[in-house]
Amino acid sequence: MQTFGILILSGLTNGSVYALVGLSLAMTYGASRVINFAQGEFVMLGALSTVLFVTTFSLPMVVGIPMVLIVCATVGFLVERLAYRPLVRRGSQPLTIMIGTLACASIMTGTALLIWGPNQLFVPNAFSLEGVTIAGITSTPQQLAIIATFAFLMALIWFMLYRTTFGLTIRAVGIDPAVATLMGIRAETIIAFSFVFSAIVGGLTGGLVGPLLGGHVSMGIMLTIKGFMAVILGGMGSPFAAAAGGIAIGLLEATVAFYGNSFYAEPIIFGLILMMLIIRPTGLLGEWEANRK
Amino acid sequence: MRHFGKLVMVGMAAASLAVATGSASAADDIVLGYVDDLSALVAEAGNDSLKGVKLAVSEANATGGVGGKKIRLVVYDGKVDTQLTSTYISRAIEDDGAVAVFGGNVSGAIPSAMTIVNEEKVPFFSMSAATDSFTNPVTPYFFRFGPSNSQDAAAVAQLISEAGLKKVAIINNSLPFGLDGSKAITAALKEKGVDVVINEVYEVNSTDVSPQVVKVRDAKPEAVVVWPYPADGGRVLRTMAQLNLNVPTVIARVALFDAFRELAGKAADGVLVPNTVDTERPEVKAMLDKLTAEFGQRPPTMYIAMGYDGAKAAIQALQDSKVQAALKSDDLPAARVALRDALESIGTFSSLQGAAGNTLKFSSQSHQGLHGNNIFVWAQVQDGKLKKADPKSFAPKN
Repeated sequence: MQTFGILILSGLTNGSVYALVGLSLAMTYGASRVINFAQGEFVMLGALSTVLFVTTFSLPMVVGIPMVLIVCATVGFLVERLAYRPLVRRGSQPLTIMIGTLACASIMTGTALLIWGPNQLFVPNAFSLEGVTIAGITSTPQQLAIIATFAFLMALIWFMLYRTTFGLTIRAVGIDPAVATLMGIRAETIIAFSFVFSAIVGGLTGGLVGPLLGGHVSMGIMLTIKGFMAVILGGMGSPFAAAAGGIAIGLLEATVAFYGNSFYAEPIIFGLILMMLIIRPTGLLGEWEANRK
Repeated sequence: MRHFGKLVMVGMAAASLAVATGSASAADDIVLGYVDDLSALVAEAGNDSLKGVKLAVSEANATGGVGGKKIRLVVYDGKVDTQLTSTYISRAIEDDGAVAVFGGNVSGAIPSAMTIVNEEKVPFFSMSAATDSFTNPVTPYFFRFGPSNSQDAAAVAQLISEAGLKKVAIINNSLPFGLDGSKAITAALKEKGVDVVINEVYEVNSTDVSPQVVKVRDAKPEAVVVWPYPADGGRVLRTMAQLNLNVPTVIARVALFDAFRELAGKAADGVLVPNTVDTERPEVKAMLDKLTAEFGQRPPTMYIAMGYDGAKAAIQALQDSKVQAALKSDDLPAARVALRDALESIGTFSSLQGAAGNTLKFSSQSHQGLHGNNIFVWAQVQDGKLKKADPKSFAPKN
């Protein structure tokens, strides 16, 4: 029973990371219909900015983390304003815009390399990295904070999307930006918000996983891939579906690692995604989420 | 329009002159290429080896270079990208006119690099990429200056066997370094009559490796061997501490990286790491002092020493009469072939790796420079720092 608990907790920890990246990808996609390939770089920016503010500038964590989020929000705003919006206004195809976001990812990585250098850095931890045992299951407060942050953000996004007028406008822009604009909604502002919000989620994720993964300029790409897998598995366009996909991948990885071998986890997950695309092209929860909209 | 045409012609003439001048200037130097990861996952190794190479080159240039020519180093960052590394190796050979190329701290990039250097007939001085098959069988232009996985594995097996431990668990990442390492260690332990009770593999970017460590703990090993990259190695050791898996632990050379020790924290205290650098050797100490003066303080890792060893060997081989004759007649392809031949014919080169008096040995049968049982010096992690270890400290914990 204890082993099963450890497995579930491990799956939830890894799954929450993938889910946080996946839901931030889905938030942007839901509003703009574009996959933001720079999303993983916000995780990197979050981790390395934490090093800058907390280690280099010796700011306390309660000051450092808001600073990190401000940096990420600003860069997210710049990506939307300098890459996404000009390309959309020129009538570019979605693929062109996605390449634009890939260019942003490259610029962010290059700039980070100039600032933080090539080595893996220790990212200061907001919560303890010492083990704590609850009901016979050992984890660390830092790992538990990842799961708690994911749960909190899910609740926040649900409330924002389904219980506020602002959320209604976000969903309307996601369905058809042109019609939403005709209805008096400022679609461009909503899309800019989705970029900034996703950047903040990415930054927060970076601050949380950095102490566990180590901060590194190239850490974003791997997490983008995992987040993208979560989006595909769960269903495009909905942060909840993407989050479900992320948790499913995390739990599957833990199960395969324990009962089989981690070496086979990734091929199994990709095989599952392929089957999903054949059987349910909209993903696990894609249709359900579409109906809900 | 006529004026424009004249301007273009003048411009082209000027450009041709510039290219010709550049070529003349390049011919005055001996070019060595350095292509390695300088900014991604194993950047610490790539940068440390580069510092070792730079130090040896600057020492040679300070005494007039080789045969009256200065050595010029061209450096490219191949990241952990096979394609990019191959492109830069080709560029160093074709565009920069490198007589030899250094690099090879990333195993994944080696197979394609090896194909290029063997086809182009350019000696490649490989650093820490440890996969055994890179030098077994021998390929004409590939020479390794660091230990191979089987040499690491033999040292690890010897350590465990001498400690009287009989049941060992191996946990490694799913990258080529981890997989090849675990294979070599399993074979070496079997030779010593030690059982591998479990071999667990994890994905390098997993935030939580508890499932694998639980399986290792439940197998009740007397010792654990960890074969990771730096950051994931830190996670494995932290998880082992959380799950009360408190047995003698030996970890791959990546524990020499600062990143590993910072990420592992106190969980790394006491683990043993195979290193090839003995800081008590006076000549090693002298080299490290010079390196500190030039580049700032670095931990005494094998990556620095193998870079320095490789460059020193290249400089010695460049002095060979056939290499010099080819260089004087500006016959670069002949100089590359002669350099390769010189590495084999000189055969024995001094080394700052291993015990005092240890040498690198190359021949037509072996392009693996380090040989014998005196390559490794055990290091121990204590309070985030490396210190020379007494292998006898690797004993069952009470």
